[in-house]
Parts: sequence; C-alpha cells; structure tokens
Amino acid sequence: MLEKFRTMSQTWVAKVILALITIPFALFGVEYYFRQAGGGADTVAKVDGYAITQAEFTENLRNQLERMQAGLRDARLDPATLDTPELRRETLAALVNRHLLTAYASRVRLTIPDNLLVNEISQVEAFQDDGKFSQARYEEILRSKGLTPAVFESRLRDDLKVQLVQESLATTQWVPQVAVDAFLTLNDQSRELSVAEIPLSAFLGQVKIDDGSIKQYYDEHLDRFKVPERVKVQYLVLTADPQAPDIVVTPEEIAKAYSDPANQPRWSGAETRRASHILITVPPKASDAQRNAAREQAQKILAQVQAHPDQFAALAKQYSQDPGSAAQGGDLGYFGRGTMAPPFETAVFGMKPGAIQGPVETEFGYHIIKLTDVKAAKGRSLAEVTPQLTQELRKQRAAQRFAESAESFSNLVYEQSNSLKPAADKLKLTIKDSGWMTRGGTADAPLLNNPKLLNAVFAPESIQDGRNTQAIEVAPNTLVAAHVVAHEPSVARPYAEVKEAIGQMLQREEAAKLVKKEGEARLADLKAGKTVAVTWSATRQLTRQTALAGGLPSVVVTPAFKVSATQLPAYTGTEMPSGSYFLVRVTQVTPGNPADATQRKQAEAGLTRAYGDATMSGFMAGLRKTVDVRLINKAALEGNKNGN
Amino acid sequence: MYDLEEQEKVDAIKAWWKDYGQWVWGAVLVLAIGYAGYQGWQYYQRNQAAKAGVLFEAVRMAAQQGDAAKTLQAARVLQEAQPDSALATRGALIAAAVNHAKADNAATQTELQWVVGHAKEAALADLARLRLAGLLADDKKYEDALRLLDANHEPDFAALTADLRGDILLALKRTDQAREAYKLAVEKSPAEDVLHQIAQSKLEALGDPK
Repeated sequence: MLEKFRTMSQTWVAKVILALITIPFALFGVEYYFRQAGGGADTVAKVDGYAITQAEFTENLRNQLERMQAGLRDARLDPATLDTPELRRETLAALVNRHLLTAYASRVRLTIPDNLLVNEISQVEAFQDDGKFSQARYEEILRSKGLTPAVFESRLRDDLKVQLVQESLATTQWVPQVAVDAFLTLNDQSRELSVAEIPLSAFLGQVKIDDGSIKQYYDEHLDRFKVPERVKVQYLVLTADPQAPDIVVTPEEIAKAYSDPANQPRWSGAETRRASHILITVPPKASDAQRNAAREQAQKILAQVQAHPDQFAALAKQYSQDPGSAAQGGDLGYFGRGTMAPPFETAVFGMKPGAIQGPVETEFGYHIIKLTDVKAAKGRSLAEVTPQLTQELRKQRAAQRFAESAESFSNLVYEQSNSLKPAADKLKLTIKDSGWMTRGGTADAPLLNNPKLLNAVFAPESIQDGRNTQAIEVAPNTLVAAHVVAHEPSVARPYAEVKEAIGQMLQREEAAKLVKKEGEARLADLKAGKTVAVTWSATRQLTRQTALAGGLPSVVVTPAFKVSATQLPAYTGTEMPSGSYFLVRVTQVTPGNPADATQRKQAEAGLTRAYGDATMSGFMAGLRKTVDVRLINKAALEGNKNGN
Repeated sequence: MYDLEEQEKVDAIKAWWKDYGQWVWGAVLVLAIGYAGYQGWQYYQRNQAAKAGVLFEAVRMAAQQGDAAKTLQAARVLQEAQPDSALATRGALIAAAVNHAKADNAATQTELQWVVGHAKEAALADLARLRLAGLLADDKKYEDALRLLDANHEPDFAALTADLRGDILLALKRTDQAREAYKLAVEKSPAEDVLHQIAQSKLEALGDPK
C-alpha cells in the first residue's frame, strides 16, 4: 500500500492537492498567517489584525526614552524615572496611530514611487561615503541593525505613506478670514473689571478648633504625617586620585618622559602666532553661486578693514560668522603649526605682524586674517616642565591603579557581601559613615546621590539581608559600594509635634467655609441689585491675555470672562486658593479689534496650526471607528515599578 | 490475504474516482479560474496605483517649489488619468492649498469642487466642502457657505464644521445661532485639541443667552 501511495503521490492529482493547500499562502502572503497568529502574551495591541508585539513596543519606548534623555542633558537623571505609565500610553498611542495610517494607506492603495524611495535612501547621511550613497555601507548598516534591505525599504515605504497622509491633510490647511475675524472679535474682547476681596483673616477669629477634632484628624490622616524611610550607610569610594601620597614619581621617570620622542614637540617650543579673523562661512555643499556671493562679501569687508585697520575687532564683531571668536573681536589666541586648517596656517605663518590678508579660502569659508603677535621659538628645559610632567605621570599612575583595583574592589564587595571591611583592608581604603539619608539622597555626601546607587541602597537585599550594594560607578573613574548600618522605616511624626500645625490648618479650612458662605451671600445681593459694603479695586480694562499676563490668577480671569455680560454691571465670584473669596465686577465689554494687521497675522498662524491639528485628529478618530483597535496586554502600560 | 485487502481498497478508490472524478476536475478548474482572475485584478489595481503614485509625486514636487500653476496642471493630469485614486483627491487638496496661498480663488474652488464630486471617501468630501465654505464666506457669500456646510454629515470633521458655522453666523450677527454652533464644536472636539479650547473661549466670550 505504502508503495502504491508513493507512486500515486508523484502523479498530478497529488500535485493539484498540494497546490490547493499552498494557494492561500500565495494569495495573502505568508505574513498574513503570522499576523493572524498574534494575540498571545507577546502582543500588546492589535490594529486591524496587525499585532503590535512586545518587542516592537519596547523598541519604540526605548527610542522615546533616549530622545527624552538626550533632551534633558542631565546625566544624573536615571532614565528609569522617565519611564512613566503616561509615557508608555503615549508611545503606544503613537504606534497605534502609525499602524492605523499604514492600514489606511494600503486600503486606499497609496503608493510611493520607487524613485522617491531611492531618493530618500540616498539622502540619508549614514549611508553615504564621501558625500555619495554607498551600497556597501547601506547594506552593512542594515545588517548591523538586523534588517534586510527588503524589510527596511518596506518600513520606509510605510513611513513615507504615513507622512503623505499627514501632509496632504494638515499642511493643506488654511484659515478663512472669517475665522480670524471671529477669533479676534471674541477672544480679544476686553472687559472693564474690578475685584473686591473678602479676606480669610476676617473670619479666622470666629473659628475655634478643639483638641478632639485635631486628634481625630491626625488619626484619620496618619499617612500625611509620615517622614520618609531613611538609612545610614557605611561606604567605600574607590577613585583615581593623582594626589595620593603613595604615588611616587621619581626624577628618572620624569627625565625619561621628557626625552620621550613622542613628547618632544611639546617642549621644543616651536614658534607660536596670535591672529584674529573674520569668517564668512560657506556651507559644505554650497553651490557656486553661494560660494561666489560669500567671496564677494568677504572682499567688501576686506576693503573696509584695509581702510580702517584699527577697527578690525569692531568689524569682526559685526561681520564674523565664527561663533567662537566673533565676540572676542575675532581673536584666536596663540597657536602653533598643525592646529589650524592648512591654507589658514600657511597664510598666518607667512604674514608680518600687523598685516591683514584675505580672503583665504578653507573648508569653513572665507577668512580675513590679521596677524597680531609672534612668539619666537623657545625651547623649555627639563626643570621648567617638571611640575607639569609630574602631574601628568601622577594622573597616569592613578588611572592605572584604579583600573587594576576596580575589578578586585567589585569582586570583594560582592563576594564578601556582609561587610565592607575585607575590601577596605585589601585596597587600603577608609570606610566612611553617612548621616541619615532618604531615597532623595543626602546633602552631606554628594557621591551617594547617584540614582542607581540610591536604588541599590534602598533595595531589600541591602536593608533586610544586610548585604553590600554592588560597586557602582557614580562618576568617571569613581566606584562606590555601600552597606546599610541603620534603617528606619517610614513613620508618622508624633502627635505633639504636628498638633499645632493641624490646628491651624483646620482653623483655616473652617474659616474658608465661612468666607465662601459670606461671599456667595454678598454675590447674591449684588446680583439682586442691592448695595454691598465691600471695597472695590480700581477698574481696569483687560483682555483675557493681558489679565493673565498682568498677574490676575486664572481662577479670577476665567469666571470674569465667562460671566454673561448681557446686563451690566455683571457680577461673579470665586474662591481663592488662599481661602479668601473674590467678588468680580464687570462694568464694560468691548469687542476685540480684528483690524490690527500684526494681530491678524499672529492669530492666523496660531489658528492654522490648531485647525491643521484638528483636521488630523478628526481624520484619525474617523479611522479608529472603521478599524478594529484592541489593547491586549494592559500590563505593558504599567511599566516596571522597580525601574529596571 | 493482506494483498487482497489492499487490492480492494485500491479498487474502491478507482471506482470513486470514476464516479466523482469529473467533479473534482470541475472544482479545480473553477478555483484555478477564480485564482487567476483575482491575481489579474490585483495586478491591474497595483499597476493603476503605481501610475497614480508617479503622477502624484509630480504634484508634490511642484507644490514644494511653490509653483501654483504647475501644481494645478499636475493635479489635473492626475485627476484625468486616475480619477478614482485616493491620490487624485489629495493632489486636488494640495493644488487647492497652493493656489489659495497665491490668492487664485477660481482655481482653488475648482479643485475643491472636484474633491466634493469625486472623493471616494465621504470624510474627504466633507473636508473639501469645509474649505470651500471658508472660501465662499471670505467672498461674503455667507448663505451659500452655510448651505454647503449643511451637507457635511460624517463625524470626522464635525467639530471643524460647527466651528466655521459659528464664525459665519457671527459675521452675519446671528449671535444666538453662533452660540449653538460653538457649543456643538466644543462637544464634538476632544478636550485635548486646541480647537476645543478655541471654541470654548469663543462660546464663553459670547456670554449666556438673554
């Protein structure tokens, strides 16, 4: 039987059956099946059947975090602290939007022509060699990212489609003049306002708080009086200290370093020159026309400089496009050969003191140069450079020693984790004691304020198990390990200590209630047309913007511009955060003036952006209705509480 | 014995094939024709879409150069060659914007009208009507503009439509109706949109009705 089946399987019938099985793959592409397979624990969300995987989400989140950290430029900030549930939600929303748009683009068959794709890729600087696209480089970079050109190109195509959708909707937006009119008339309306305060202080005396209610408040809100958890630690610092007394640098070593051929140019004392320059920059890929324009400008400045050589500094300040030197009147200080661009150097070292020359062309653009001083060649003796060399050698030795000890330091604090003593003895370090410190760190020992170290200090292994933290690099060439010696959990401050503060707070709270009641009663009187004995401030004519800019708090401005002005004077009132109550009176309303040209321009720019955003957000909302979006793994949005 | 049983089974299969073989043939044929047709249709569609992509790129390039006449011309070529393409709609929107920036109202109007008449996506026809209404309003044709906005029914741009309606009604000094329109714009826009705040603040500035 088996034999027969085998012969049969080679006949056309079997081939047809096989073909039938493979047809679905040919129709939809293998990827379709992979997409359908999603929905497991690895899927974060699904958009139109496409599964956003945990890996894709994590990659995007990491990119986002890196961008944010680069923006902050505060190296002390632990990236983990930026990883909030809000950021995760935003990242996912952006990913979902992207896939919504991709799904939409393929549904309506938006296409990106091949030549546009090729053009985009060839413009990426990372793929270029000597300013030209290099196929080898392109493939190499993709390989290092684990991508094939086909995958990368299809992703890029998707990106371009997304961009196309956004571009054709939001950037085609303009604002009709009728909208600018309405905006300016209504939003730039000004109102004549005055306010009257019913102060909290007037009612404080009427409130007495008994001890019973203070105690009750304390018992009910214990967590508000908690002082944060704190610890005392012992710690060891391993650092590269060039001044360490046991680093000895012998005169022989210094002499050897002095005669080292690699160091020779440093003290052979070649001639140095001091020059000033005025630079007219030319971008690296400038056209001939740009280059000519820059040269002409430089020529004109040169003529001016030659007419008034004494005003070189002033002219440099005015014209030079070298951000580093323009403010110093173009001064570059003393420099030797080998530091400046070759044509510049040739010019400077061929000039006489006080001479002016230009325009000299370099890769940066055109320079007009004035030589201000020449220091003749003068060699330096061993005695002269000994202090400098000693320092250098000490530094070298210290870095070397640090590198040698770092590993054994890390191993010792880890292997003998119940004490810092073995590490201290072996490496002759002193165990230091910190004062009380919280998770926020301590002002006494700045080295301990490294977020990674603080995390390690407050981890259960350190507090409960009494183990050393691992050695953590808190600064370049500086390792710290800590050991918790005392720990105080977060406790509530004793009643007696906070009693008075609670009493005052409750008194204010009660008084504020009375103030509010009084304020609302007076407001009702005013609205009913009765006279009320309060002191009104001087009236001021304000728009929403000038009111906020002029220091009126938004809790006053919002109701003042919201109250109906159909009948004047109009009244409204508001509680202030301070506990006082403000009565607000509107005596006059003037519509904004849409005729002002500058205001129109500003409003138009702002409205164009707002309406463009609204167009895009409306379009996305519409897409979301037609496409099935489902969040599968909610936990991915919570993030890791430990900040790992 | 063993061989005999085997032989019987083979005979049964042969008999089955004699009875039903033609049906299997037929089914395979139908599937094959269907498959070929589907692939052919797909190929045709892809081909058309690719052509539209190339023509659209011409529109985009002209728009980037700020050449209104060239943009308009490229958009029209695209419209004629691929009137059903989603890219033709977008080409028209781009041509309208570029020509509006050059204050060529007639060209802007024809492009937007083309979108209203040809867009396969109802939301985009709404968007074109919205922009067209703004154009008419700036030409003081307020009533025509309002009538145009009446035709917008998709939820996508409901907030923008209501907001513009409010602006036009305000220009007509029909304050009570403008208030209602802004109220709708506030309701229909998500709170995080700047449009929401703008509509809210216009609504507040109008004050409560008498």
